[in-house]
Amino acid sequence: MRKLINLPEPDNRLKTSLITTLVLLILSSMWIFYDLYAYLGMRANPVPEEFPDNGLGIGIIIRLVLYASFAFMMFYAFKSGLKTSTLTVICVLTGVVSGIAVVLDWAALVDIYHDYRGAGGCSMEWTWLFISLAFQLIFCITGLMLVFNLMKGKAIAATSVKPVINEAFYEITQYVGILCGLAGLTFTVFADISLHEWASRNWLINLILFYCLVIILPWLLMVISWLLKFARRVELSMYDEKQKHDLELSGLTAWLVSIPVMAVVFLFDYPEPGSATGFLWLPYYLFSTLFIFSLSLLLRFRKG
Amino acid sequence: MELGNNIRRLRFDNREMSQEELAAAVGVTRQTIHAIEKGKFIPSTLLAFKIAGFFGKNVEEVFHITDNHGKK
Repeated sequence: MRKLINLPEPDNRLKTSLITTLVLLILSSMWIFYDLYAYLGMRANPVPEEFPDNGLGIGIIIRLVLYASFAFMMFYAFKSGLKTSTLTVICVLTGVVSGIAVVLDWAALVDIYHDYRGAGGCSMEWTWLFISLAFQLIFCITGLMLVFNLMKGKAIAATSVKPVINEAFYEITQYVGILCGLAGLTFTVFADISLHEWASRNWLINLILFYCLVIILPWLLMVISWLLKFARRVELSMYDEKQKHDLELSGLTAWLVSIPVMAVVFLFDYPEPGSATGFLWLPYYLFSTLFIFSLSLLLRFRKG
Repeated sequence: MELGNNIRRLRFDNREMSQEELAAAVGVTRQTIHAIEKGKFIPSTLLAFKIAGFFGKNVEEVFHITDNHGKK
């Protein structure tokens, strides 16, 4: 009988995480249609007391478990020599976006609940929720394709040579860094525009800083797992000499670019001493440097 | 003046070895070997000796200085 999962014997943890992720992906794909049905129903009949909150809540829990399982699966797949392909990159990127979107979806649903009780409009929240569903759908489709490829051993590099440093992980870290940097910058600019008049409301600023932490989390987790691998000597060296050279140049580029970026941020809010930038300089600096740094590293990596 | 090399030819003379295999043998990434072969990255002295040693050659037999027209 043909084996369902065509992987070498030592990859038991990868097998387990593949099966768990597959089950959760199927469940989550089905839940997307439930969410769509619930959203359309809620939009048509805005009575908060009749919202199907239990179903939506269970969907969010399934998604959270799925992202954890997907993260474990990717970790073991990278260890087994996962190849960087367009499918892998799209899957990881949409996974990161929809992972961040869980928190924003929750916030949007709470906003809708309060706005409907106050008879207010919330078209932006609905737009966000439908965009988020689209990202989830792409993630589920690419995730299923990736899982099947991994099960058939197609996504694993054919070579028997064990790399000293995992290049695929290095490359995907840069893609995630670019995405987190862009998402963070967009969110901070949006917060700056929206908060201009109520900058003194500290709790709101703290909430934004919390969201910024959520946005940077995927990149941070990848870097932490890299450091842990190095500490446990799973990999012999963190970076090789070309990567170190690229890191130095990208660090310099990010620092040099951050000076005019921060000067522009400062100039824009200079005439208004009570503006939100007084609080938001940190996310501005953090996400602009993360974006430039990751983009510069990726370009140098792709250039060879 | 640039640093030229014969790594590509040496790999093929050495049972058509892949960049990945050479990278694993000398402890760097495939991307680094690719960049060195293309002349886009100048390796450290240590890595140059490692690569030459792997092929059983002297450093001068693997790396050479060329002018801007590619002449040795």
